[in-house]
Amino acid sequence: MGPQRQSTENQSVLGDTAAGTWETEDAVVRIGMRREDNTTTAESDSDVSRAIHRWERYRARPRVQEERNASVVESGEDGGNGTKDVLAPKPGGGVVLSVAVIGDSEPCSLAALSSRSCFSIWASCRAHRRIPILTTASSFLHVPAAVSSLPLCLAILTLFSIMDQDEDLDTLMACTLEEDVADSIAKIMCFSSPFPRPASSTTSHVDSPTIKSSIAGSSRSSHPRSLRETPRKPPIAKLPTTRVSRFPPSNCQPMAKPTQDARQPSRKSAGAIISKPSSIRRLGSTRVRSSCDTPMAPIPGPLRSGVENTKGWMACSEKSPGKSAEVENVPHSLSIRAGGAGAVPDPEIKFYYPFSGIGAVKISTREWQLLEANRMVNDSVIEFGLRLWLDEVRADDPHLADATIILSPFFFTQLSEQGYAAARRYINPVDVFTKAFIIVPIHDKKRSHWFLAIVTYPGSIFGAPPNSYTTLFSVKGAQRIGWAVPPETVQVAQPSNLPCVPGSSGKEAEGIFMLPSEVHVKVPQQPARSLDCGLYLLHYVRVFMARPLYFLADVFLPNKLIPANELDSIWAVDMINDMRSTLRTKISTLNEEWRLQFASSNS
Amino acid sequence: MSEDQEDVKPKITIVIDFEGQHCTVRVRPGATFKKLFEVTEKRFGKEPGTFKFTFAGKRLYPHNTAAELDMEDGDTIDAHLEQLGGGHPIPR
Repeated sequence: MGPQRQSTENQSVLGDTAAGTWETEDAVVRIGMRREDNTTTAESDSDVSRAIHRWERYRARPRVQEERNASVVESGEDGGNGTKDVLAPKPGGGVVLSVAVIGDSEPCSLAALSSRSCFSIWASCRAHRRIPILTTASSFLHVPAAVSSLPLCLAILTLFSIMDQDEDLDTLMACTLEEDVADSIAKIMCFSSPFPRPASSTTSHVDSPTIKSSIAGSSRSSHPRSLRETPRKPPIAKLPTTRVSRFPPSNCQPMAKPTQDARQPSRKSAGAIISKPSSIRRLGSTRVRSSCDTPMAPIPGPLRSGVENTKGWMACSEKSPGKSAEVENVPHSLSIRAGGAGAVPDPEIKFYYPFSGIGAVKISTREWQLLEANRMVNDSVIEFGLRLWLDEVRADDPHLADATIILSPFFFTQLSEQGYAAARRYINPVDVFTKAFIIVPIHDKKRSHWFLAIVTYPGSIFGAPPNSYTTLFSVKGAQRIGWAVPPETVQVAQPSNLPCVPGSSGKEAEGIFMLPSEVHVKVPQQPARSLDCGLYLLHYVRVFMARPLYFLADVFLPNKLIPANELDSIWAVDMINDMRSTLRTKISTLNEEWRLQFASSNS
Repeated sequence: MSEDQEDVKPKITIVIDFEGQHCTVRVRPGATFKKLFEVTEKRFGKEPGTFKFTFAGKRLYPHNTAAELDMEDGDTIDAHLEQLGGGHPIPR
């Protein structure tokens, strides 16, 4: 089973690393050659160069076809916006692709995961006054549920996107949401994360009023009394305090009374700081040190388990702000290798990718080991691989690379487990709606599984509705299982009064959004007992990015049935076996470069 | 941030979110996260080095500082466990 595997693997690796085997490039090479278990990978020089060669050939292949298809894409879609720019969002082109690599092909995991509302995020995260939109996979799978939860989600999203505006939330809330709606949202946000189960009991509260949620723009300046006086809206009152980080944890109880200062607008952060301890302490699992010298009273709560840990922390923190003193207090066993720029290079760390800058991916011995045959790969490998491809694309076509965004592997986990508020942190600074492609690696924790969603032209949900609905296919067997919700269902009444109507083109204020369609693309599946799903993921992204237009026009079609053998060649499956060695070669090359750079910068 | 705190290099409050559980610590913007990470791991009862931390989707390392990342008071750092995936079919 997955979890067990995982834990044993963890242990073995910890053991290995402790032994400190992997130190130099020499070791890298040696280990690269050591293959008792050479089931799939081949790492001799000739193999690697063959792999590279094959890849180059693959990339070169479809250019001509692409030209042809580009025109198909543009004229074929209804109401093409006329631009020749393939990267511009096209009306009718909004598609969530779920390229699922699933060992045992159970569509259920898609229903559970692929979904939940990728779009809700993207639609609402942009801080660009547009009306939020949402769809979930479940909305496709079970249309009735979707219809009932849609208004609710819309309301929530409206709320979130308003919060993005960083204005006085109370005012906006009052004009945007009717009282009972606001109320139920407050409840939802309080009791559970907003998205996972929106169709539960709370839904009934919200049925019709929510659709109108966005009206009454005229009252924008009116006094937000309804909110101020509603007793049960503490989370909302709390929200404006600053940013998402103030969200109550998803499992918290509603607070009886909002503290007065918790309502201060975000700008006055000093007030907010003071207000924090009182509100947060109530949550039980949190602790705040309100000032440097005040020891905290012990806090009851689930986290109490590590009592001596807590004490350790308190000891440290009470001591003094002086850095050295604090460090002394850390038990020796705790000390972590410093690593990173300026320090002595940690033998464990092979490099950061990219070499400098914030937010790089650390590739260490651990990742190197995981790339041995028959090991599961981790999030760092995935992120590293994806960034590698993106840079590969950038060398070729900077325009395309700029129009592509790779989301963190943690993004979807956050989204499905904690909802939008937590997930938003991952994409906050980016307006994903200006991108052409969004690559979303998805991790299924229960099954220890990686799979992938690619969103194409997210901006097109603001375009005209399509002529026809898109059919949804399950992963296995491509049987038709449902229709997408017609775009009209998302129509928002009088959206032109919305405070968050798209500023750029007022015409979009028709209020009709395209529900993004979801296409479960059929891809070659990994063999039984293989542990390569992460590598399939990486490979499919690479293949897709090499010629996205071809895939859009010829492969990602809901009604297209492609014979299995053709599928293999389209996705160049034969190259997957080289993936581990390709990555390892890349890692050792980069490792070398990194060390050289390190040496030169230190001398 | 109020002015009177400005000159004493005010600490900022950082919320650490691990699967919905929050833990709040105050750090100096210029100090590295090493300590913060250690404390968090202890706090959640994890071995040192277990967590992967991200801020705004970017990975954090012990040598980073809050100032480097333009963190503000009340910002949230996410803590994650490593994600491992292989897609091994589940035995029936």
